[in-house]
Amino acid sequence: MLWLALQLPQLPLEALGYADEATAIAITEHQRIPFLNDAAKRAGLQAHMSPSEARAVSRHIQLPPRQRQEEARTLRHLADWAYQFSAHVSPRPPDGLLLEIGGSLRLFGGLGALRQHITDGLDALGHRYRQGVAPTPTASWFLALAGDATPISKRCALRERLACLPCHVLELPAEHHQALAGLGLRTLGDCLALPRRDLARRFGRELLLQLEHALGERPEPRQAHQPPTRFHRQLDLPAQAHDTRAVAFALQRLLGELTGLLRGLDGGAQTLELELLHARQTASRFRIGLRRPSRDPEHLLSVCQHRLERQELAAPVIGLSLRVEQIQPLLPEPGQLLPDPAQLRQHQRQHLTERLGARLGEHAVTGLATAADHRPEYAWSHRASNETVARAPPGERPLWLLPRPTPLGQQQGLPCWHGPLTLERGPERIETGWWDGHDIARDYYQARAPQGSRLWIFRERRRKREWFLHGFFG
Amino acid sequence: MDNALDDLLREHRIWRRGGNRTTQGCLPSGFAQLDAVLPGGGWPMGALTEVLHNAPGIGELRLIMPALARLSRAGRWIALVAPPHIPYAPALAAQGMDLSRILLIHPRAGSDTLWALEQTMRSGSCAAVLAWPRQAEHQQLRRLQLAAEAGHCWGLLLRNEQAAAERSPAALRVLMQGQGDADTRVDLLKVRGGRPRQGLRLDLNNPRVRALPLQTSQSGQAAASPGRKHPEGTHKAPVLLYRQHPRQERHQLDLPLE
Repeated sequence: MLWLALQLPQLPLEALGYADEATAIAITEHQRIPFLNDAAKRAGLQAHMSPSEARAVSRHIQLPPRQRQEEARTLRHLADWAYQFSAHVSPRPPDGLLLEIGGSLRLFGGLGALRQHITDGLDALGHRYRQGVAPTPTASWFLALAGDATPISKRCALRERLACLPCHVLELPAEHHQALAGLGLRTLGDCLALPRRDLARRFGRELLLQLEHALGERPEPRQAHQPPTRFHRQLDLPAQAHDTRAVAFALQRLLGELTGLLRGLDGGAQTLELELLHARQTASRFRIGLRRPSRDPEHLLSVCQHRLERQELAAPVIGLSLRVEQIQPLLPEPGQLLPDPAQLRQHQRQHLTERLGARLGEHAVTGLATAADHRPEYAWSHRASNETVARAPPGERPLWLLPRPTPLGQQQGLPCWHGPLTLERGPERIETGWWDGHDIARDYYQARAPQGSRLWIFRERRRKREWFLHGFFG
Repeated sequence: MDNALDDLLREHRIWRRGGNRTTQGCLPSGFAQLDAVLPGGGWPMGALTEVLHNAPGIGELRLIMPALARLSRAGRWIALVAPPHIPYAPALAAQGMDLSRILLIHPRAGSDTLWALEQTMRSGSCAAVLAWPRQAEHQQLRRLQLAAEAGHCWGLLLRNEQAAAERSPAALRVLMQGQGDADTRVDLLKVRGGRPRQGLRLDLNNPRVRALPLQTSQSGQAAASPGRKHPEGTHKAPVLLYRQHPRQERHQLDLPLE
């Protein structure tokens, strides 16, 4: 077992969507400002000032109230995202996340590589973090709180390393911390040097429990986070967006979270529901369908962008919402030493059709197939299928078919199309289809127009026996 | 210095009369007379080809069909962007096209057509892209020419013969005039790397080589294991070539009328 603890010191700020570093922001709670960003610190503010003091120091500071619900939700989302790195993710409210990474080391190629993956992802999502790695969850948490990023990989080194950590990493009431300081106990080592029974009598069981958990002397079961089966995120933009480019930037972040979850569940998304939220109008909705489930963030982004480009923004956008109702299993691709060029082409092709479909509409890109029917208009379909050639029709067929037969004029009993036509071959009689109400009875001929075109025409065998043009031998 | 110059001259956008040009390869057209006069012996890949004709139905598709059928068996796609009528599947199959490689794209607006054309040409997954532009500016055609080069794709523009008067960046411009099927007049208006030529006579119904329609038994196999059995197409299902006798084409059904 090896645990990675992530502590998010700026979570209250991040939960409210203040990623912007330029403006000074401090979170208020109970007439205090427990959290403030770097810009606020530069402006001369300090933690635990009162809001009125803060305003006196800096006039331009923003003081939003703390929202613990938002924080809990952000932490849950982060746990969803972290599920890709570990099968055992355990949130540690209010601001921590514990990941059992011992089982993932080999998959990601070692501790260094795994931590790099995680830190890169957190940077991309815009989170600040402190991390600690140790064989027990509590020890890793202590390391994270102490800001000690050097991992403890062996149990035997636990006691020695923990002894150096300061006492403030312990989760104790404030008066106990004061009492510890009063006794001259500065580090965990000082505490461990005392007889345990006396320590428990003086500070309650809580302190002893934490120390024993940290040292691994007492088992510490952690509840595992259950990843959701759906994905829904909403993101408020810091400022109104007037063009799709600004939207795309926020979208990229949402897709980053989505693909993280998809990787964790080993699934893909096939239908994305994207909503652009406006200030005074109902949201614009986009439904983006893919041919196959995917979890490639770049591909998803490019498809979404092409879909967005198709439409003008109805109004400035203030937020985005992304929803995936169904997470589908991703078919595993057989691993190969050398990439198969045919497979590679298959991917390129799929990406091309999805890009085209996103901008032109889903029905704009189709395949072509023959169908088993004698009626010319039913002998083909848009459906792309691998089963070709039902059976070749007996007569010669034109390469162009008109969607609807065009009536032809007549001169002395002969059909005309830009001049009188010469009938060259025929007739081929097609009389069928009585069973579905679209029955036809026609004599087909090949005819030559004066300027050289070869046409496929027919004469109705019923009613007025009129001539129609039905295709060109292109 | 010499090297830089050689590199520059090897660039396929530079036209050198009579010089050895490196092209992106050629595609036999299936018509001996045509192959004989085209530089490299066939349609130019990685470039635009314009086929100009006065009316639909004079054989504008049959001229390119042997080459297209061959391309469709080679694994990449054939894209038809905004065709003016329905490309008729049974007839295409009879010409030897592999229908599962055909991609029909129907953009709604004109600007989307150009975008879709450029995307498909540039993507590299299409071996040939066919389009029927009504009017196209030189600059737009130039973009398409570059896209075809980038995607190593045979860009085919089928246009009205009035466009012959406009200038065009296409590598090859062919004007067709049909009198009868066995006698179609083909003029090469512009040949990059070759010289224009007037008055070729082609028999479009009887190309020198022609791909047979895909066998039904083969297609059954393909349906059982799509894409696995012969992922490349060319290796396992070779293009069947045979010389056709002119007489075989006629039907017994021929009946004189009145």
